[in-house]
Amino acid sequence: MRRSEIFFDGVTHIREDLIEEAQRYVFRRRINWRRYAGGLAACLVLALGLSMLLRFGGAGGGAPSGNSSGYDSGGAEPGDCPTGAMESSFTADVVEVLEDGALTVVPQPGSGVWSVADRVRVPTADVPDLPDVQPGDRILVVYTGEAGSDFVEGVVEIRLLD
Amino acid sequence: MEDARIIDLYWQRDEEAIRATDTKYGAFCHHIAMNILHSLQDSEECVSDTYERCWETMPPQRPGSLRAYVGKIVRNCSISRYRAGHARKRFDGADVLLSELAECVPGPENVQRTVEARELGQFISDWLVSLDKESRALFIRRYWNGDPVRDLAAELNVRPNALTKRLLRLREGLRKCLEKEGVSV
Repeated sequence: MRRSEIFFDGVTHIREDLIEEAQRYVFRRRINWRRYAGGLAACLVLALGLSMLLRFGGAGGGAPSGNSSGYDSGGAEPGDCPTGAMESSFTADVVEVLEDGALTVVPQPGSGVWSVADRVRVPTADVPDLPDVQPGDRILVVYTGEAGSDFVEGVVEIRLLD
Repeated sequence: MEDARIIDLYWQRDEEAIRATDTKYGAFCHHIAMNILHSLQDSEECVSDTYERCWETMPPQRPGSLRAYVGKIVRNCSISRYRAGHARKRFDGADVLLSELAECVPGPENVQRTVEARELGQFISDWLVSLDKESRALFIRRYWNGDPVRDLAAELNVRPNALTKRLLRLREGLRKCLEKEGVSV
């Protein structure tokens, strides 16, 4: 009899309790990570892309622009700001000086979309070297922010005109 | 039906014992026989011989595990039929198992004594106890049940090549254990 066959018989005589345990044993199925590697990599790239988009994507939304469509003055004189924002300006007559120092003005004809009848609120809190403006004065308003039908933002200079 | 109840039927010489054994362990016996013989007809004959052998040996035998008991008998019947001159096909059934088990035989320079199959079984059992549960089950399922490597690999969800390497390491471990004990066959 070959040695291997004797060994085979020897295996037959393994303890019964070990045989029984092996028949009952349920193998733990291995997870094949390679199968999921492509999907995991795609999820990681997507997550990184989204995080970068959220972090840097909204930075340009609030940048002041002197060329906001529909509201900018036709007489705008865009100029360069130290901060790089585009400057615009318009001429207007002061109608009222409000309690907080803001001015209610009437833009002059040729000031763009504003009609002669429109009244625009001009904030002055951030204006350096604000001249002593009175109702009836004609001024030049220089701004870098957005402008609407009745407001203007980012006023950087108010110049009293003769 | 519980094993103890089936064994009681054997002791009571009730032929219902054979029907109960076939119902509970018939597929198990056929599976082991097919793994060794790779012949449906030969396997059926071996299983039939197994039931006859159970009837002859119980009583006086009262095994603790009926499954292991009938499994041993069907293994012995199958390998006997294999040795009796059944047409040997290369790389099939018992040939593959025997060639793998041959690697477990220690080299002659390390042998102090030879042992019989029953004593060898005890040495192998002691070695198996030193393994983790999964490795133990793997060795027994492969070399006692005769389950093909591809089937075991599918259960583990690993590649057959990886499992083959693992089984090779197990066989080497058994050989070294036997060499350390100074025994051979």
